Formats: sequence, C-alpha cells, structure tokens
Amino acid sequence: MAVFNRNCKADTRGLFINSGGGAVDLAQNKALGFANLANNTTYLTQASTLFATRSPREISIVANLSNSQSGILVNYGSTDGTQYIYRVEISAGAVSFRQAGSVLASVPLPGVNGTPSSYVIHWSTGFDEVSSTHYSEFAVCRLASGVWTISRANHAEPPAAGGGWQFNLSGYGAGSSLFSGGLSNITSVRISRRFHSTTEAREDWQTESSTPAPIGYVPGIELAPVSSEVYQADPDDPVADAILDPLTFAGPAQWLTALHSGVHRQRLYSPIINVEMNNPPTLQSTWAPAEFYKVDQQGFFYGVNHLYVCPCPRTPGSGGLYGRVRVHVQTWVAGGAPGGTTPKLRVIARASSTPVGEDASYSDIVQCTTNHGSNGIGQILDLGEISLSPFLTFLALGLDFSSGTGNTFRRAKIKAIAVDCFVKEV
Amino acid sequence: MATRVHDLSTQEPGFEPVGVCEKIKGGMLATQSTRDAALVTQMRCTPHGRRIVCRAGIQGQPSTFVVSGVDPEIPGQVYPLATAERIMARQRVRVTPGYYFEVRGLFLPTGPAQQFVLSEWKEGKPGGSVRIDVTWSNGVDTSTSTVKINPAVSLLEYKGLPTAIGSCWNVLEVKEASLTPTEIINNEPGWTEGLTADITIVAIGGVRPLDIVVYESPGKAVHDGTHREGTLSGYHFLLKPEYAMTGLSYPTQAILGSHQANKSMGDQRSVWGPVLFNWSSWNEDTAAVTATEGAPVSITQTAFRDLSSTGITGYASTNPGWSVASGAYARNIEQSGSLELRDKNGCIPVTVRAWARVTSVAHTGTIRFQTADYAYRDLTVTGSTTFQWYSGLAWIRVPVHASLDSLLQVLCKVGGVGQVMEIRHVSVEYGDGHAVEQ
Repeated sequence: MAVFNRNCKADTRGLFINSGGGAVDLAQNKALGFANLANNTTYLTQASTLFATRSPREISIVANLSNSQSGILVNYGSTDGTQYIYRVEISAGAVSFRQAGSVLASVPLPGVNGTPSSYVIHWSTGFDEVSSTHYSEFAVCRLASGVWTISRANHAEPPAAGGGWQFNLSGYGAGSSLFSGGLSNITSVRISRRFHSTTEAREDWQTESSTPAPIGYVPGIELAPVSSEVYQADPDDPVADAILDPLTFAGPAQWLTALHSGVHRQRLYSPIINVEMNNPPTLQSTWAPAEFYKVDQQGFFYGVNHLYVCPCPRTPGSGGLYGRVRVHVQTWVAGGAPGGTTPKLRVIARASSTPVGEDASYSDIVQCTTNHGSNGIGQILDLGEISLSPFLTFLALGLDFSSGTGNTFRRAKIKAIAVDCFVKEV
Repeated sequence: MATRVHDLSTQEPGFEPVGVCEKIKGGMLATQSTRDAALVTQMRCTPHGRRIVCRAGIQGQPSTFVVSGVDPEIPGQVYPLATAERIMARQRVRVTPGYYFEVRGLFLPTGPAQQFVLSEWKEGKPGGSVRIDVTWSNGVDTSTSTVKINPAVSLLEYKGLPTAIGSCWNVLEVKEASLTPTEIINNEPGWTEGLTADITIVAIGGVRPLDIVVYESPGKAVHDGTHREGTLSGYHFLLKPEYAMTGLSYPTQAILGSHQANKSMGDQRSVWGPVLFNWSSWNEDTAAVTATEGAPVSITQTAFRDLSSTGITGYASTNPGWSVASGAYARNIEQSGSLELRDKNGCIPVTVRAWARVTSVAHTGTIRFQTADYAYRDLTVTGSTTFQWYSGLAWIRVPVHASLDSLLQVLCKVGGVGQVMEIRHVSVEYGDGHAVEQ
C-alpha cells in the first residue's frame, strides 16, 4: 500500500515528490489518494481546478537552482500565459512571485551561484480581517547554509480561475517558458489550502525540530478548529423554526466548545517579567549604591533596582503555579586583576508575596564562570523553576561574585530577565 | 432584550472540561443541566488571565531619575520641576473582552522638586506622582481614563533616600489603582469588547518609581443582543427554555444558542493570547533632568544591528532579548497542530509594534522582529518625522511550552548612509488578524 509522504497534510491539494529520474508526476492528496498529472516529458499539467487555490493558500517548491537558470516553476492560468492566479518564476538568481499579471515580490536566492543548489521556495497567502487585506509571505531558504530570506506584501484577492485555465509544473500552456533546469531539478512541489507559516516550511522542508522536553503540565493542542461564523438566524424566529436550522443542533457544538475550553484556559498567561535592560550598568562586588543592596544568609545581594511587581495568573485546576526563570548575563574580569582571577557570578531568583515577605520561594542557583570579555555578548542562564503565589508576587534577583582570588575584579551585566508561568499538576 | 451581567472575578477557577464532555458526548441523555455545564466551561476560560500589558521602571539602573542627598537650593537644576512630566512607557494593546486594567507600582520615597524663583533655584512644591493615561478606542469612538498615584514623600534631609546598606528595602511602598473604560464607548459601564488601549505611564515631579505594571484583571461580562464577544450569554436560566438544546432563556432569541457557544470559543481562540512584552528607551539613570521622554535609540547603520547593541549584528538564540515562551499557550490547530508542526515546534500570530520615526521624510528604516532564522517580520518606518506607532501582523516561532527556551530579538537598520531612524518603544502581543463580529 502506498504511503502518504509526511508533508502531505489535511489541506494539501497536491504534493509532488521527485522519486528520482525526473518522476515528479505523482500527486498526493489525502482526499483523493494518488493520481498522476499529465506528463508532457518536460512539464506536467492538470486541467481541473484542484490546484486553483486562492486565499488562504500555500505553495511550496524545493528545487535545485542556480543563477543561470530561468523559467516558470509553477503556474495556474490561461494556456496563453496572459492570465494567472499564481506564478512562481526564477530569473538571474531571484524568484518572482506573481499574481494576476503583477509581481508581488522578487526575492533573491541567498548564496546563489553557478552551481545548482537546493532551495526551498515558500509562498503563503492569508486574509487579515482587521485590515481587510489579503497578504502573502514569501520565503526562500538555501538548504546548504540554512539562510532564509523572508518578504511580505499586501495585495488584492487572487483572481478566480477562468475557463480553460490549467495548472503547470514548469512553464505554462503547452510548454512555454519552461524551467530551464528541467523537471529533474524540481524535488517537490506542494499546493495547499491553508496559510502555512515559515516555521512550518522549515519543519517540513529544512529540519524537523527535536522532540522538546517541557516541565509541568502541557496543554494539548486543539483537536479541531472552532467555527467563528456568526449564527445568522432571524432573532424573531420562533425556536420551533430555528431548530430546523442545522446550525442549532447543539450536541456536537457544545461538546466541542467544552472540550476546547480545557485547551484554551491558559491562553491569557503572559510573562510576569520579560525585560531587556536598556543600557545595563556594570556590576562589581562593591554593590553600589549601598542603600539599594541587602545581603542574605547565602551571600546573595538583592538590589531594589531588580525587584519586580508580578501579578500572577490564576491556576485553572489543582496544579501549582511556577515560573521558568531565565537571566541573560555577561561576565568578565576587569584589567589589573591578579593572575588566576576568573569570572564567577552566582544568580538566584526570589519570589514572595510582599517585597520583603518571609514566605519566599527560590529558583535554582546558577553560576556563570565564562569570560565573555568586557565587550562580549554573554549568555542565558536557566535558573529553573520557581514556585509562585497566585494573584501577586514580588520577584527579586540575587547576585553574588563570591570570594576568592581577584573577586573584586569580577564584573557582570544583567542584560535581560524573563519569567514565563506554567502549571504543574499535583 | 434584557441585559445579563456576570462577575468574572468571582468565577470559580477550577473546572473539569473532560468531565463535562463525558456528560454531553454522543449517546448521553441531553439535559438542561449538562447543556448548562458545557456552556459554563467557556466562561471559566475567562478569569485566568493577569496579562501585564505595560511595564516601566528602573530595570537594573544604579540610580533613580530623582537623585538623592543633594541640596535643592544650589546653583543649577538637579531636580525636576514639580509639574514636569516624563513619559516612561507607551504601549498599545488589544483589551481582553470583559477585562479592565489595574495598576500596581513599587516606589521609593518621593524626592524634592525645584523651582526657578528670582533667578535662583529653590526647593519647589513637595510631592510627585505617577499618572497612567489610557485612551480606549473601538475604532470609531474614543474615551480616556486617567489615574494618578501619589507615593509618600521622603522625610529625610533634602527628601533623600536612606544611606545605610540595604536601607532602601525598608522604605518601599506598594501603591495600587484601577482603570475602567467609561460608558461612552461601551454602552454598558465596565464592559470591554473590541477595544484597543493606548497606555502611557508618566512620572511627575519628584516621584521615584522602581517598577510599575499595568495589568488586566477580569471584570464582568455584560450580555445583551450586541455584547457577547468571547463570552456566553446567561447560562443561568430565568425562564425554562422551550428547547433545552437551542436558544437559552429567550424562546424567541435563537442567537443565544449552541452555535453562539461555538462562536464564543472561536472568538476566544482568535483574540485571546499573551502580551509578550513592551520595551521603552526610558532610562532612570541617564535621562536628563529636563527630559520629557526617553532618549530614542538612534539607528544610522545600513546593515542590521540589535536594538540595544551595535555589536550584535544578527539573530542568535543566545543573544539578549525577550522570551516568547508564553506564546505556547496561544497555539491554534491551523498552524501548530500535531499534523502541522508535529508537536515539536510552535507558531502564533502576533502584532508587532514600534513607536518610531525617521528624521527626514525621505529616509527609510527597517525594524525586524525575529524569533528564529526562519521566522521574522520587518516593519518599514518612513514618510514621517513624527513619532507614531508602526505595526504589523507577524507569524513568529514559539516553543510548545512556556518552560522551553525561546528568544525574540529586535534588529534595525536604515536604507542608506546618512539616514536616521529613532525608536522609543516596541511591543509584541498576540493577535491573529481576526475581526470579532457581533
């Protein structure tokens, strides 16, 4: 039994995979199964409106391209080439994304040269209800380097297909403006019926991310989208009439909304701290101004200038609320330090219900000993999780340069702090 | 049609949607009570949020804008005028339906102000405050709300701060206030729907703020024939319905039936999501005593540079920036479903904003909001020398859970040598371009 390719999805109208030797004539569609397009040796065609997608829509192409190639990769339009819904064409190392006779965007192929190299070309179209405009994202990635170039444009709704229009993979009509690289250099093409993000393009065509390992309760993704259409029954209709409308059948709709409410109950969870410091000062063991800093029994210095008001969200069930604390630090050693001096900064986060509350919880203690240099970028420290109290928490950052050789020459900057909330089921 | 009011703030937070689903799944007896329970689950989505929509403060700087321990009656100005205003943060956000704003600030004792009298600087009228201005807009009408917070004034010499080690921890003050839209654009007082809020946090006189947050708090849902975005009409029956599974308590009002339940959830998933961050160029330590707003970041480079550092010229997940991990909660199936991203990565739509200008109308600036090599959105700033909001819809990469790593970086450049773009504020919030309909 033939197996659908991993990139053949629910909204895929057609997926073409080059199985070698230029055999790119297989169209995969989960509704219709497998079907060959008309193979005209140097180009493929399909006369139905299956691929006449407009908005939302996605077009993906993976092809070996060079700066000497030219021609049309995919086209849906009239056989004389004068009208089309979409057309993706390359010329002189750039990709033209065309609609209804106009160039919506021209994106250069990053790193293109005379030797064909594999590129992802990604064109997604959607509709912004707020601004009432159709828009497209145009992305090109050189797979050998992983470099992406992304562009964007607002535009009119793509035109509807006219009579006699057809889909061409390479060229248009009966083989005009063919892709000069030939079908064998087109690795895959996908025509879809949904807006796809560039993140999805990366996962599908470049590299699939490794399986993440989150901590805490992980809300599942929705099972199905929920209708956002408005029920338009005449308010004056008696219920006896309204119930005849299929939209009023309650069971499935209410089951779906009840189910989804569990998924969506944390949609309003926002970071309680998400700050990138504006021109962060250099810190040293003198901890100035002294009145800002107090030291605890573990030797951590807490400054009122790193004390944050953190109204916390409610937890939706029996789980406890936690924050994942990440701090971006830069550490180095000042000039004149005695030999053997190394950077060392210990960092901890403290949460309590009042600014000086005794009911404190703490994050992990993380130590940074990397010498980033005085002009270095620094690194992100993961302080792990910290228990939070709902409704209101104050969170402070504790810092310590430790003792030891040259500790007064140790320097640091706190460049950013982020605390994202999550729930752990108990 | 009658109006129903539901207090979201007292909604029981715990609920078990799976259990509700069990009662109304196929084959189960359809009853009024189980139908009610299904609708209640939607309402229980509403009370969980405490989105911090705007933040301003000292953020690690070694001194407050209002200095300490200096005699105000010396030659020269070292303190602000009593009425001098300085904008610490600006933000524009879409308000969660049914929510209102609360303000919580952390302060050190207020310092002195100065006044210029008979060619000499003297100590001015005591006091200082923080004012939060909000302009609410539904796209047609606007309304404003203002609240002022007045922290206590220092009792020490020159209204200074204590000087002993750690002594500022002993004089901290927490102040609170709330902001609710007026009736003008809501029809129902206190009910928010389809609103955008422009927020400014303004410090006045000798006030010494450490951290100020404006955050959302659940208010009330007000339902009538035209107000029901993201919430569901009365699930408490006043009248027995003619048919338990269709319209609710109004036998002639089918619009409150099951499809409306679905629409409410559709609104919630499209409009509800996190406010990820706001950033301001305000700097308590370096701002001039006469400053009225933070010195903007001036961009003159023709190749991308980081908003905060000229030494960073590209994106890397290890660079300083902002977390977008909370975006994981706003993933929808169309973009981030198990088939689409295989539960290994995430993507959400956001609205990216920048309060910026170019110094000549012919200049062009680009501001890039980037969360991965493969996910970024460029905003173009051009055509005006007046600071204003530039915004756009972006599809950004987020992790699948808030405990996982992520980074958003803002990069900037101008279109040519000699061109200048200035940026004072940037922000990112959830938003998928969905227009809520009545």
